[in-house]
Formats: sequence, C-alpha cells, structure tokens
Amino acid sequence: MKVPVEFGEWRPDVALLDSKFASEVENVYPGVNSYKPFPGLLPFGPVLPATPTAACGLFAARTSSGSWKIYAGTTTKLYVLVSFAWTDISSAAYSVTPGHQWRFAQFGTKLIAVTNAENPQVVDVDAGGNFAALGGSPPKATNIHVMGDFLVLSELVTTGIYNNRVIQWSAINDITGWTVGTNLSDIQEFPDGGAVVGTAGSEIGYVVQDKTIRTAQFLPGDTTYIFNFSRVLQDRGCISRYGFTNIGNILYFVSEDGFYAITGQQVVPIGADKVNDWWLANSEVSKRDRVLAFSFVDKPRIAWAFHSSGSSQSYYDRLLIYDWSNQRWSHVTEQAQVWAVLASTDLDLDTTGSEPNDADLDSAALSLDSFAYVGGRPLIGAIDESGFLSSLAGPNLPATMETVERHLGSGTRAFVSEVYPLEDGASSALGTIAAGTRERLQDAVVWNPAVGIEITGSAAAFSSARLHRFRRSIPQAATWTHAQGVVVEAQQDGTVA
Amino acid sequence: MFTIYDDQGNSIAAIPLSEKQIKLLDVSSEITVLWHTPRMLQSTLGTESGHFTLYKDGNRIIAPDSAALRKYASLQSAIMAAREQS
Repeated sequence: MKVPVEFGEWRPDVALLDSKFASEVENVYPGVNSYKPFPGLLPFGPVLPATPTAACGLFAARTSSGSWKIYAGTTTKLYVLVSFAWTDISSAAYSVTPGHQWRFAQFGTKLIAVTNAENPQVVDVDAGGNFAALGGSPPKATNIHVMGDFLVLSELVTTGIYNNRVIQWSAINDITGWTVGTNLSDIQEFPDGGAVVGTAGSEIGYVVQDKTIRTAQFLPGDTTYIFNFSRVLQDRGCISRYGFTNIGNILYFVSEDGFYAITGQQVVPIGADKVNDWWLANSEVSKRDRVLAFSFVDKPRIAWAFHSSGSSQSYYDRLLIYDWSNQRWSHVTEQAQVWAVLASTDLDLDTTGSEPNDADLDSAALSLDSFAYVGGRPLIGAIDESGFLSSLAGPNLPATMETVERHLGSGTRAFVSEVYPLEDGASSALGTIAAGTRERLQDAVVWNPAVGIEITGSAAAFSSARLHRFRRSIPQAATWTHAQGVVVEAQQDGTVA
Repeated sequence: MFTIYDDQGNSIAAIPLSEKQIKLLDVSSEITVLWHTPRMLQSTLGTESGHFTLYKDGNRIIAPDSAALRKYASLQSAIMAAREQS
C-alpha cells in the first residue's frame, strides 16, 4: 500500500495528528503546494570596519541617475560603499545605544539617518560627501519614515516637549523645515497606546505604537490638522521598533502575542493558529524589542529576523518567513547582524570584478546593451555575522521538512519498507529520510537512524509502529526546486497489544 | 532667525527659515510661507492659519504683507511660551 504524506502547510501551533500540515520546515521558502530551497548568505562586499560586533544599519539609496549606493552604520560610524570599499563618511564619532540601530530614509537626493542618541544626519546621495546634521534642528529620533510629502520622526528622545509618544513631521517637501506650525510641520502626542515605535505607509499611513495602531490620513488643503489619526487596534501594537513593515497599504507587524496584518481598518491575525506559539517558544524574550522586519522586493514575502530562545549573541540567528500570496510560513536559521533590502550594483564593461556575471568587454557572455550592466536588481542583503556585506545568493541551506504524525494503518501497526521523497534534485546530494515512530500518543517519539536515498529514488527506512512521521533532510548546497512530501510503502503489521 | 523687513525698509520681526527656504529666496523671486496653530496648542491658542510671501531684495528679506507676518511672528512667540510652560 502506497501512502502519500504531504508536507503541507507548516502550522506548528495546531494539533497535527493525522492532519495535512507540516510539523517542521527549516531553511526553506513556503510555496503554495511545496517548499523551495532557501539560499544562504554569500559575501559580495568587504567586511565592515569595527565588525563583527558593531554593524547596526544597512540601506541602499538611489541616485538621480538611477544607480545605487549602499550605506551602512556601526555603533560609531556611517559608511558608504565606494568601489567595493567602505568609506567613512561620518560627521563625528557617534554613539549608538546598545540594541538600537541606524534607520535610514531617502527623500529626493537626500539620505537621512537617525538613531536615538544622535541628531538626525543627512547626506546628498548624488553629490556624496560626509553626513552632517540635518538642518532645522529636528529632534533626536529612533525611527524615520517618508509619508507622502513629509519626513516623519518617531520615538523621539525625551527633551522639552518631546517624548517617545510624540511624532513630528517636517514641512511639506522640505526636510530642513522643522518649525512647528510652519509649512504644515507639526507634532502630535498620543496620550495612550505607549511609545510610538515608528510610522509606516504612505497614502494610508500608520502610527505604530507598542500598544496601539493608528492610521494617519493626510488631509490635503487642511492647514489646521494636516493629518487625521484614527485608532485601528487597541491594546495590541508592535513590540519592536523595527518589527513592522508595510507592503502597499498593508501593515505587517509583530505584537506581544504574535503576527498581524492591518489593511486600513481591517485587522488580520496572520500568525494565529499557525506560528505565534512556536515563535513565542523559540524567540529570546529579552531581545524581542529588536525583532527586525523587512519585505522581499522580488517575491511576495516578509521576513522577521529574531534571536532564538536563549541566544546571547548580538546578531540575529533566525528568520521567520511569511509568504503573503499564499499565507504560508517557514523558518530559517541564518546569522546576520542586520538585514536590509538592497539592490545589485552596476557591472562595468571593462573589468571582471567579484560581482556575479561581471564579464570582460571582450567576452561574449553579455551583449553590450545587456540589462545586466544596469544595477538595481533587488536583493536581500545583510551584514553577516563576520561583518561581510552579503546577499541571499549563496548555496542552498541544509533543509529539513517533517511530515505530521500519521496512523498509516487503520487501527493497526504498520510496517514501512521504503519512503519515496516527492521532490526533484541533483543526484549528487540526495540527503536522507528518517522515520519517527511510537506506539501510543503518550510515548516519546523515537527517531530511527536517517537513511540515504538509494538509486531507486527511495530510502529503505524500515520501521514498524502504529504512529509514523518522516523527516526529510536535504544537504547544504544541494540543487533542488520543490519538495512536496513523501510516498510511504506501508503494510499492516499486526495489532497493538 | 532671520530679520524680515517691510517694503519700506522697516524691521518687522525675526523668524526661523529653513535651509530650503533660504535657497529658494536666493534663486527665486518670491516664496510663500503657510502657517497654522499647532494641533496640540489649538485648545489654548485658538485655531488660526494663514500665509504670507517673502522675497529677497539685496541682503534683505522683505514681507509685503507686514500684518500677516506679524500675526505669524506673534503665534511663534506664543508657541515658544507654551513650550516653555509644558
């Protein structure tokens, strides 16, 4: 009897016995009916000075000519990547508070960087040069966001009229205008809902507090209120100042009890009965205020980088991936000090650099008018744990997928003779399958030794038990595209005593 | 703070101008400044808004409508006073 057992959707929070869900998926992307390989980080740039312990900001800004520049921040410096070397463009020696980051926003040709212990810094992306204090004496802030024609600062450092429940926005189309009451610049303090950890969105803006979410609607032509703020969610907000992101008008964030999405006034608990409990059990509670969200620009996915439970490291060591097109999740074990959405740099015509596919002018690998010579391909970048500028372009990470626990026989024990993985892949790296068995739900699961895939395409994972589950392991750097599940060859093997 | 004059050459008030406004004054004939009572002070200062224009004549910044500028300068003073009390 052949029994297909799909991996199914990863929903570790629900009862899994005989269900169609997966109990574990690691280092894969969630597909609509399969799991896909997740590439590891591959360095493509130099090590950031003063790392591996000090990287705390990464951003790609676009020049007026359409090329991209990569900026990075450490606890004491701000850098720009020039000719694949980090160049110090700090205005002074900075002091970033432990656990805080540099946050960036581009407004026209200006790149603004904020962190709570320093005055907002600005540099011209086109002209270059060093960062300098942003004009207009804006307050020190933890987060920054461009909302329509305004630059919005949030989680302001307490001084004078400012505190962490206040936001201030610039004059309209003028990031050097911070005189309250002038050219639509103003402040708003929110009396409840806790600290404003950030703002997001554009046409529908969001004020993200640690215990409340509000929408911020610009009122064109209104010189009295400028923005209208409306509460959408009460008693829940984002627990991390970096733990939210928006895609279009949808805000995604991590709350005290898990993951949510908000579209205007509609709140969707995207992690409930899926991964919330798993995340709470597997994340380090003392570092949940540092959870970092970012959206993939090349795929419909969002990632939350976090520290695993018990982690004492300064760098993130886990990612929780959410595919918003199919509402499925997965998790990844990968280390990085900071993650960001970057863009590929331009390839030049006459040298062969370290960039992938950077062919010489004499080579026929790329035509002279190839689109590859224009940078800007979106990519997910990071400063890896060793301090190297990296992107998700490395060899596939070792993947693990586990089926749910199944009664393969109806009321009887089942003898499994072979397990056939439903996936493609290179024959040079086939990986293994292990069977986990037990006789009663009250017993502990016993994992049999992992068995390699044979020339037949199956693994001789002999086992006999009433309850079975199967763990598929695909080694690092193996080439494959989809993993759907396994087909088990099973037969009745007597009743349970 | 920048001293603003009326078109008779009399000093009206000193007001803050942003770097962008200064650049615009240097290269264009006239800029318009919008003003309003800040949201959180409307309960104490009332709800007012308006605008005035500025242009540069030599080294001097001129406000043709001196009354509108005085109103803005008065509001800014009130904002400063309210800030100090908070």
